[in-house]
Amino acid sequence: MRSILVVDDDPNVSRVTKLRLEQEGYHVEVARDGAVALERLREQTFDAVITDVVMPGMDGRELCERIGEEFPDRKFFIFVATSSTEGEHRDWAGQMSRTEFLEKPLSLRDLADRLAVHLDGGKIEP
Amino acid sequence: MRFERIGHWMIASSCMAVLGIVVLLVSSQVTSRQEQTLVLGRSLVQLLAKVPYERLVPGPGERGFLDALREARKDPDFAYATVLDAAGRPMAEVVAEGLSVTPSLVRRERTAWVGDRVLRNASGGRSIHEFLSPILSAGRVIGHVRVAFFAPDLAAVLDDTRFLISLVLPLVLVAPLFYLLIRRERRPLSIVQERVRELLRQESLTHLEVDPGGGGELARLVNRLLQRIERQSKEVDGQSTASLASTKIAAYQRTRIESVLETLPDGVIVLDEAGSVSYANSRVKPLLGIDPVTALGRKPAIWCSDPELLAFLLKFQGGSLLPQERMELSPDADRIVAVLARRLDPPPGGAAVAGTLVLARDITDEVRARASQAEFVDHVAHELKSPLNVLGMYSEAILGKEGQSEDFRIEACNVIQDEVERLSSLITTLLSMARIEGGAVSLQRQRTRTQEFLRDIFETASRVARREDLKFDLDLSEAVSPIHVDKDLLRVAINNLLTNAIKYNRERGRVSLSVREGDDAVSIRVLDTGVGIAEDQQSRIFEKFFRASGAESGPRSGHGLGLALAKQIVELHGGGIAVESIPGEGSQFTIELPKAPAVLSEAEPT
Repeated sequence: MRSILVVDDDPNVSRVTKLRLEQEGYHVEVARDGAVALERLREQTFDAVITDVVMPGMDGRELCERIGEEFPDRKFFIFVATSSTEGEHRDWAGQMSRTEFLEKPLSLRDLADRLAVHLDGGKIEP
Repeated sequence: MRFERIGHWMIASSCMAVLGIVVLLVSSQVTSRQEQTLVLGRSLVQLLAKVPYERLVPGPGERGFLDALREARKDPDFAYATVLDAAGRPMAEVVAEGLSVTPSLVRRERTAWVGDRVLRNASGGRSIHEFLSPILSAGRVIGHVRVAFFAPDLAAVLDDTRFLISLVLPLVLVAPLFYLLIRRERRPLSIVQERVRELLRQESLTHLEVDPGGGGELARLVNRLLQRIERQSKEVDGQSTASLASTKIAAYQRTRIESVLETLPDGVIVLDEAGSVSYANSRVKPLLGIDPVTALGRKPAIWCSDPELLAFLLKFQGGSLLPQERMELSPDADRIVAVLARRLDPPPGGAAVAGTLVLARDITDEVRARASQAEFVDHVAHELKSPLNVLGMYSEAILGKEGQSEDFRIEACNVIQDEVERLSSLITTLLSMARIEGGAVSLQRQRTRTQEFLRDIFETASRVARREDLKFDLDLSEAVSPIHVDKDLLRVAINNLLTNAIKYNRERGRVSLSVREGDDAVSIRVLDTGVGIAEDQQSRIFEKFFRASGAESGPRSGHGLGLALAKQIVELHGGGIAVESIPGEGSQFTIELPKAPAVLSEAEPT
């Protein structure tokens, strides 16, 4: 079973995301900010990380930087959920490998599909 | 000219004539004296030779003939007279004073004739003309007689008074002639000199009044010269006045332009075609750290210490074809300065001037404003998209498998409602702030009973708040005057304070609202026993979207605009808002509203 780490400070968001992803058959863990997320990443293996950008404490950008430092050979995929329309956020994460951007407002369906593509090698369930 | 020449010739010839006369007179005098001496000497010696011997050589006590020569001794030319015997020994002698007849003067030869000779005086005195004669008695030479005279010389000649007179006379006669001649020639000069002296005593040059007859050609010439000088001096005056005027005008224009350039808030440097500074105003010093005085006339390589700026300026050296270029630099950590360089354009209808204009402008505020605007947009985007995100996800979930659970449906709808509420409140707040900032809001002030107003707000807020644990404390014990405020707006402001006080409060904490009246203002205080605000963040909490770190204790329900809006509203009323806080203990926000109706500065509603 694939493991997903959902990082978001809004409990509403993480709750509904977890619900849907568990429906899809993933194991889901939740972290409220980047620091907690890093701890979880050190403890367990995950197949993907879905993270918000604006969070109190360590934000999404810093989390990605730390992941790059600590897990240079990571196998897990990172999805960054951003509300910025400019693409400014893409400057710092665009150079990272195995990383994708998700535009808010997210669609659960879309999220599930994208996960499937990267984790299962292209199988998209209608 | 001709007259001068003739005059010169006349004077020269007269002088020559006089000289000639003098020379002639002197030489004739000398000659005549010589002749006199000759005649006198010869005759005297012959005479003496005929005198009987005994008479020539007196016995003791007798007067000799020679003594009779005392007369001759008055002749200054007389030297001596001697009688010698046959052997040549002097027998009787008469000598002029101071002269000694040395034996070397006597020749031992016997002379048988009357003769004369000239003897050079060895001691350097005058030559001596000696006359000799033998004394004969009965055909035999019994002795000699010698008489000598000095040869006449100039001194002797000039001793002659008569001669002197005859010499001086022509000179004396000629002198007045000369004088008259000179005076005649000098007369016009002296007249002109006198008039010029008069003119100099006067201040201005006027016409020289001389009748041509008196002054002559000289006066006429001087007149003409003076006229020309006067004319030229008037011309020069005129020119100098004109040039002075145009210099003054130019200086005035230059001063005006320079003063304009000095007043500009931007730094201005003008480079000439060679790249040297031809002008720099004093603003370049605070903006770029360049001293205009030392930079003047010099190339950037000498006075520009910033390598980036130098490289930029060097592009324009030697009359670059680049029309305009811009760069930004940071002379220090807090400032950003934009530098614009442009080829000089000619003024309308004017000639082109080669050179480069360099403008320096402090754009720190602009850059900051741009940055903060960009930041604001980012914040707004985030704050709007987040609730939408939640709305989307939950409604999607309701329609999906999760929605099959009734519990989930209820939960989801609650969440949706909350988010709609949040979003709505955010949009309202944003719009209010946009309107206030845009100057589109005019206060609808009403005379308001303060205590009633505050009570109303407080009770609503405490009821709506979902904090049953908190203690709500309303202190309206002090009577205060009515306030003149826009009720709707002020309600929002006070409500925002109360909402924060409720949200950021500890378990079983306290929220209190009180009001006091001062001399100039009414103070409304909202106090909470919450987490407090760190000192370095206290000044920032009124910034848009600013949320103090560690403020999130529950679900995110704040968007960080509440205090910013409250501040805007209070300031629109002419009042102020302040915070005091101790982290860990609580915070107190104070709104001060001026009592006297504040001068409304906003525009009339359009």
